[in-house]
Amino acid sequence: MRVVIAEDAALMREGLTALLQRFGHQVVHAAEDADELLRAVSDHRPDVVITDVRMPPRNLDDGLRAALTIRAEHPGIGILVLSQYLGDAYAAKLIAEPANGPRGGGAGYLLKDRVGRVTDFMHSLDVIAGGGIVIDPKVVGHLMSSGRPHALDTLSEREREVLGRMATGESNAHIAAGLHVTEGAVVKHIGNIFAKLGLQAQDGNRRVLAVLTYLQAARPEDP
Amino acid sequence: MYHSAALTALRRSPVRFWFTRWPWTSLAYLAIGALLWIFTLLAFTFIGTIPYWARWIATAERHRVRLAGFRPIPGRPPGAGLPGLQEPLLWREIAFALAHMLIGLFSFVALITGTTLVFAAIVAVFVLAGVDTPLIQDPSQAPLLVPVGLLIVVASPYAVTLLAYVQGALATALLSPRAEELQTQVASLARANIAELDRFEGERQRIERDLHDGTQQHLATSAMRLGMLELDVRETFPPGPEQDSALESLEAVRRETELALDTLRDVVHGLRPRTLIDDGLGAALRELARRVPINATVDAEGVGRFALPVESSLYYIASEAVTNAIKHATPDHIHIELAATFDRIMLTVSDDGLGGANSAHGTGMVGMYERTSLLSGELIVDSPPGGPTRIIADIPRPY
Repeated sequence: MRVVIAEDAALMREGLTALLQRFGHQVVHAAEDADELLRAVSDHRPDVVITDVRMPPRNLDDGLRAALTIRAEHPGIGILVLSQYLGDAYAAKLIAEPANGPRGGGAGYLLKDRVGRVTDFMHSLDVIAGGGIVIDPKVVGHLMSSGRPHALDTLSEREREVLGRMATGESNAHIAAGLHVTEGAVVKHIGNIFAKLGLQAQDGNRRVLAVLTYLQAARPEDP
Repeated sequence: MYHSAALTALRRSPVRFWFTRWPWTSLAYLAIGALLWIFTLLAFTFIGTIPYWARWIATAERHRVRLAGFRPIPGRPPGAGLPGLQEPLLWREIAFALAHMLIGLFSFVALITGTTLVFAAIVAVFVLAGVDTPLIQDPSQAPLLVPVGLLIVVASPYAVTLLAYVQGALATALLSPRAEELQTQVASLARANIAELDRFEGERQRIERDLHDGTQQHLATSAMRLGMLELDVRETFPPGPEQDSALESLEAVRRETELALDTLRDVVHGLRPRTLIDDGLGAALRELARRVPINATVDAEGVGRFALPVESSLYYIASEAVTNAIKHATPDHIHIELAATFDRIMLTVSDDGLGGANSAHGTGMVGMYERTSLLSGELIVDSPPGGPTRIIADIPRPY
């Protein structure tokens, strides 16, 4: 796939480029700051954007802001945000921004160290390119452990685990293998999760909705 | 009428006053004053040196008045630099130096005259006893000198003390800080505190940035390199025990790297919660409530943003209060409330736990007090045994 990356640290930028090329992807542009990223996306219209959160010009959350801008202007482009923070507000801002249109691009929020899990990382990229949602298991765990009364609290330990894995874009077969249960058991768990979160069959992509519910729990009430 | 321990002692019992230390200390006070008078005279000869001398002598006087039985006079605010001529206190100090010139002259003359006369009286006693001495030309004055000397010896403790009182009272009147000067001092201290907090905040920001842009970046890069190395190992080693053991080592190193990053993330979060910077104190408090393992609610509606040092300090206070409550009071529920008017900010953390919170509970409470006072506010801890506990930080809203 065609990828634009944005990362201000040279070593990381080069490493990412090499890694993506090794897996046969094409890095059409490697930007060093948020403005350059926006220009590159307009020029190249990539399939997926991979961006760091903190980068020039302001060295605050410029990368994430650029990602939200891209989401609004080019809803078909998948976006993967790499972060050093478990910051739930960050993840929520990105994931809760619905991609308009039938071919809404996927979105992901991964911790930077996840890149080292090469196979996982590439799998996440495929999920995002396919319009799916990926959230770092550590971020998920962090959200899970928050002690706020919420619909999520009604889930059993096992159901949470299943939802957490769903949130990272795993397939049912994958989840079943990871938890050493049958695929049928996973389907039953997922049914229970949807029921408990009050999601109807006609809600479209229920998987994504479940994950969204999950992240809404972490969203600051005021935008 | 200014309070002086010397004068009080004199009024209470004039006879016993003789045997107190006050006549001596007052005498020392005047004697030092008389000596300093010479320099004051010099200073007034060279006009340019007046402010400096006035300031120096005022500083000395603030301590010296203790000799005359006064309480030491509070000094000027620290760090004021060189005296500014627009500063009213400096003019009062110059006025005191002028007064000192007169009183010092008077003390100087009085001390010399008194001492001479007493000495003369002693000599006169010898003359009357028939001892021939070259010190007195006219022996006919001797009978007169003796009573004069006696009178001076008896009266001088009172005279000296009274003179010292007059000078001390004058010094207290002129050199004490005025109410508006104290007000200015308080305001400038508050400003200095905010500046101090700002510096502190800047320091934390620098550390956090260094960790994020440096250490975390390097660790993340090395995690990525390890991932690439794993690919190389899989490609170059044929599958088998050698490849397995290489992959195992790689996995171990990678786990360590990820652990280091996890730890760093916690450290960085402790330094500066991202939410606090991006979304403000209300959002950070809500996040804090979500993190704790018990039921915690937050009411911070309609409160805007404040200066970062203020938000940071209040967040720190809230986080300490919550940590304390969970550690010591085992509550079922914690409620955090943030309210602001046009001139005050109030943060209240209440819990339904065991109560009995006090500063003996480790350094957390002390830190909360320090932070609040740095913000020129006050911390109210209402925690009867048996609970409930309310901790209120009430600070002025800075502009």
